[in-house]
Parts: sequence; structure tokens; C-alpha cells
Amino acid sequence: MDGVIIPHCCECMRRLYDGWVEMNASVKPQFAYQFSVPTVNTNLSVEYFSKTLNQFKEDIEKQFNKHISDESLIRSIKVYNKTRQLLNRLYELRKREKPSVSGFQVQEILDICMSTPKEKFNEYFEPYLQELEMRETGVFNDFRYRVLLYGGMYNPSIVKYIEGDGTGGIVICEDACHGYRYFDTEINMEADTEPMTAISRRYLGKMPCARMAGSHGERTPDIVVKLVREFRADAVIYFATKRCDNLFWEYQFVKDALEKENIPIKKIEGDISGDIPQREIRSFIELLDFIEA
Amino acid sequence: MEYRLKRTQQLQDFLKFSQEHKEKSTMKDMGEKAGALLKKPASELSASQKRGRGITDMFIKAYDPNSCVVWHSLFMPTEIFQAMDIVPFTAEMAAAGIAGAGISRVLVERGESYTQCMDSCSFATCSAGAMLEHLFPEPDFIVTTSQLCDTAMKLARFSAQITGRKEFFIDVPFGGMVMNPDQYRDAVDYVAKQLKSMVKFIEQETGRKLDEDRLYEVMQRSNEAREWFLKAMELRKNNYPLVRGVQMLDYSVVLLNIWGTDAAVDIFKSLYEEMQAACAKGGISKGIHRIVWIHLRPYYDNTIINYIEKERGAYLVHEMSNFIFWDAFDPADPYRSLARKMLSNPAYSPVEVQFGIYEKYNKLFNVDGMIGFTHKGCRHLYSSIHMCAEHLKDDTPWLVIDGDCIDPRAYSFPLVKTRIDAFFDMLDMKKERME
Repeated sequence: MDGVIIPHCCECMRRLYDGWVEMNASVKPQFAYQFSVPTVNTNLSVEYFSKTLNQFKEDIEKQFNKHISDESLIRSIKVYNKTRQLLNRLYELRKREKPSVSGFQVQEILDICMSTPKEKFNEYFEPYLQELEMRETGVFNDFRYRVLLYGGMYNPSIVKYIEGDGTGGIVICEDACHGYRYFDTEINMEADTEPMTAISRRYLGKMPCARMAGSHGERTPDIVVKLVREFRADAVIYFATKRCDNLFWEYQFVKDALEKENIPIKKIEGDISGDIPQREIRSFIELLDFIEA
Repeated sequence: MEYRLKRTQQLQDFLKFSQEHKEKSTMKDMGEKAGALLKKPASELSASQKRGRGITDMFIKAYDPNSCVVWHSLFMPTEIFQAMDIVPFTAEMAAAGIAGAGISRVLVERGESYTQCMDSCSFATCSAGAMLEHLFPEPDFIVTTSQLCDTAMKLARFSAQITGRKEFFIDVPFGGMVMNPDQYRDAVDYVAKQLKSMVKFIEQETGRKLDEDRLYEVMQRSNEAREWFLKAMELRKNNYPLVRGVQMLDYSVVLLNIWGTDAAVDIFKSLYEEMQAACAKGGISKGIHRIVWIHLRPYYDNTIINYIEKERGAYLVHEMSNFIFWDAFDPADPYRSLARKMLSNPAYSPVEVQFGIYEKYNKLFNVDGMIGFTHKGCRHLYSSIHMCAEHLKDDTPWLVIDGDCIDPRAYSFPLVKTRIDAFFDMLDMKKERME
């Protein structure tokens, strides 16, 4: 490993940096980098964040003795935008009455996407996506409920529990850091000619994580309701990662918004690894039968 | 402004609630004491009493229907509010008073019924409980910063929702203490511009205009108070105890919301004079172990501090909550000055900054031991205190007491005492060996 970059996006992440750098970790990075990410989406914060990213670029160049030109950044933006387009097409399939992909499959695709150079991912994924788009049959024929998953970094078991063992659910969207929020909007190079400004604007303006504040952060409950409508979800499972105050406190705002629309919501508390309460998930899905009745 | 009329009832409700739910309290007869303090002339009060009166005065003003009141998060500088005659009400710190009054248990539980989370910060949870019970004075507007805590941001959003008042949010970049000069300049400009926008927001919301000359004076007064406090701290470097530790902990100047007032200047000048007088007498007692206290204390119970000072011969020579981390303001450049203050908070930088500060404390104050009181729900100090103790254990003995400043439910002094005794036994032995 040549380095580790941990943005200060929330309190747990800041200590991950401190812990890794300062304590006697068995794997110690030669290059550890931390920078601040604004919590608001305003013209001022976009301008400030682009300066931060420019500084980050300079430090990376210095550390690895490589020059990053504007041209190469623009090229990279195009590649990443292509990835975003592909993933958006994938999510369109989930809006169908009978989705041709399961939540578990999407999770695997996203895992691969996040850990693969995007040029490669785009090359291999596009033909597979076309095949999925042609498919007219649904991935499950016996599911009863379409579930939207909300969270930060959610525990992978949650998807398995919703979709597996005859529980009767299918995950049709994840409003999560490694879900829809990863690719929901493209970088708009027509609005900003300077690449770092364009990257900043996209990053701060994308679907908000619970860490975001100000008017942009307050959009979260409305966005969840909108996603429920778009993906025709029957219910929402809200995954609150242990010790994430942002997620715990955001819950009531989301719950209030969903309850106004008569959309059932269930909060599950747990870590991003390890086990989570399968029984609670099953009983929530079973409860939906009664709500429906 | 009909909402302001609710404040009179809210104060009565608060007092009634306190009577009905009061448990063991560190501020016994709080109402009577506060009333007596307000009647006494300033010349008859000690610095600590003046501090108590300053805080009480501000608290009572916040319930006055004629006051313009802002609810603000911790570490939001209050100089601009003072210059506009706006009463600052620190919603999270009000929880400390609630704990002192012995009613934090029931309000933490009420707050948890909202957050559905038992490991969040009890300052915020308790305040949420008080808001749900409508015990806090209706604000005219709300100001929040991203510094320090995520919970503070969410609490403010909840406050705006429950009161129906508008919120202004200030984003403060993390890591000001480790930025390079260019980054720091950009960060200062970024925060300063937001502070200017905040003034416009306040002017719109309240119809008040900020008088720049008045702000200049407030900034000067803030500097003056800061100077007196620093002079007082200087006296503690090589002397026997000059003031009781529990009193010093309650100054918590980094959280104080009366900076920029005449009261703050008077309090810190009196503190300096008291310490000077105590110096001349050789201290208020003959302590044995010089201790630096990290973070705050349990506000529902004073036993820990009393025990270490009265029974174990320890005395506090500095407290992290009294660490003046900011430079003197340039009153001619108020927004950048305040921005620099907001960016220089060591708790809002990588933990290496805290290592450096404690190493410095250790030498400057000739310290025998460090005691860190961790607050269970604090995502900043809980972990950093443990990391500091681990990192610095070869330089100075550390005792880390895991606890909670506001929530008394898991507190047990006998359990804490065992660890305190082991720590001081070790310090005693070390001292004997040295002698």
C-alpha cells in the first residue's frame, strides 16, 4: 500500500485517521492524508472545497512525483461520468415491476466498481448491462415487497436477510454511501470549466449523506420519499450504524416524512460488519402483510 | 413576536419541573442561591460568584420576553451577539445546569425517547429532552457551526423544527491547527465570509443593525478578559493551589458565552487578584500532586474532584477547558479574528495537536499526573483522551475515568474511587522514591 486518504467527513472517520496514523498499527501507511470536506452545499463551500482539492492534488503530485494535468483530470471525469451513466441505467432496471437484478447482485456490482479501475469496469460492465436490459423476466418471481434501504455504509447481511430464505423482499434502491449516492449525479463540465470546481460542485451537491447540514442536508427526508415513489418501494429499512450520531439523529426526520406519506419504516441498528438482527428484518417484512391487509 | 411571550411561562415550567423531578443535586437550593447572588453588589462577590452571577444573569435574560435570544452551538463565538444586544443561549451547555439541578436523568430519558439512541452525547440528548418539554426559552433564531460535534448540528436542526425558528449554519473546516499557511488563509476567509453572511441573516431576522464601532469595543473587551485570564493562569505555574479545582473547572472558558462583556473582564480580573492574594499567602492549601484535568466533570456530582483535592492531596494546576487556544483579536478585523479563533480549536484537529499541548502543559506546569474524564457519548474527547494517555504514558502518569458529564445513570463513586486511589497511591510512591 502506498498511502491512505481519509477525508474528515464525520467524527468516526477523523478518529480512523488518528488511530491509524498515531497508534501502533501493524500496517502503517507511508503517506497518510486527511482533508476537510464541507458540510454545506453553497457557492462559497464549493469554491473552498475546490481549493482544498487543488491542494490535495499538489500534495499527491509531490508525494508520488507525478504531474496531474487538467487534461488528464477532464479525461478521468469523462470516464467516471460514463460509470455513473451505466450505474444509473442499472438502477433504472430496478424501477421495473419485476426488477431484473436483485439487491444482492447490485451490491456485488458496486463492490467491483469501487475496487476496479473505472476504464476496466466500464469495458466489462456495459455488455453485461445490455444483457440485463434485454431480459424481460424478473430476478425473483415470488417477492412480495419492494424495500428501499437507507443508511451510510450498511451491513451487507441486511440485503441477504431481506432477499434470502423466503423472507419475501427485494431491495430496489439503496440511499446509502455505497449505493445510489455513489453515482447519482454526473460531473457537469459545461457549468464549470475548471475541473476541480466541477468535481467539488458534484461532490457537495449529490444526494446528501446524513453528515450534510444546511438546506442541502435538510433535503434528505424529501429525497427518501421521492425515491420511494420513483422505485415504487413498499417500505424503508433504515440502517443506523452504531455510534453514527448523524444517522441516529437523522432517523426522526426521515421517519416523520415517511409517516406523513403512510410509508412503513423500520430502523435496524448495527455495525457495518458482524451480525445484525435477522429476526427483526423478517418480522418487519411479515408485518407488511398485516399493514397491507 | 408572540412566541416571546411564552418565555415567562417556560421559566415557571422549568422551575416547577425542577421541583418535581429533582434528584441529588450539586446545586442545592439553586433558585435561592441565584436570587441571593443577583441581589449582592459586585464588590462583595468572589470571582467564582461573579461567574455564577454572570451566567445566571444571562440565563434569566434569555427568559425575558423583551430579549432577543439566539440558541447557538458550543464554540460559536458570542462577540457578534453581544455587540447586537442578543442574548446567547448555549443549548447543549444548558444541560450542565440541568444536571447540577438534579433533573438530568429524566430529561436524558425524554431525549432518548426521541433519538432512540442510548450512546449519543448526553449533553445533546438532555437538551433535546428539555426542548421536548418546552423548558428552554423560545429563541428568535438559531446559529450552529460544524464545530465540534455532529450531534450539535442535528440538535440545532431539531431545535429549528420544534420551535419553528430559522437556523443559520456555519461550516468550519477541520484541522485548522495543521494547515499550511495558504490553506489556513483560505479557511479563515471562508469562515469570515460566512460570519458576515450570518450578520446579514441576523439583521433580516431581528431588524437590528450591527454597529461596527460597538463590535470593535466588544472585541477589545474580549481581549482584555483574555489577558486577565492568561495572567491568572500564569500564576498557577509554580505555586501551591490558588483556587479550588472544582471552581476552576466551572470557568470552562472555552465554552463561556459571556466573552466580550464587562462582566467577563470583571470576573477574570477578580480571579487574577484573588490568585495573587492567595500567592502571597502561599496558596489556599498545601497540595501534594499537581494535576492537569482533561475535559469536563460530572455536573450531577462533585465527589470526584472533592475527593482528590480533600482526601488525596491533589490540586488542579490547569484544565483543558480553560486552555486559551486563540490569539488576541484584531478589533479592526473582527470577522477574520473570530474565524481564526474558530479554526484554532485543538479538539477540532488531528489528535497529534493534543499530544503537543499536553507535552507542553507537562513541562510548563510541572505536572505530576494527568486525569482525563471521558464523556461516554463524546466522539472527540472519549477516544482522544485514551489515545493521549497511551501516547504520553511514558512522560506523565495518566488516569482515565470513563463516565458521563450529564447522565447519572451509570455513575458509581465507589467504583471510580478504587481507580483514583490506585492512581494516587502510585503517585505517592513515586514522590517518596524521588525524595
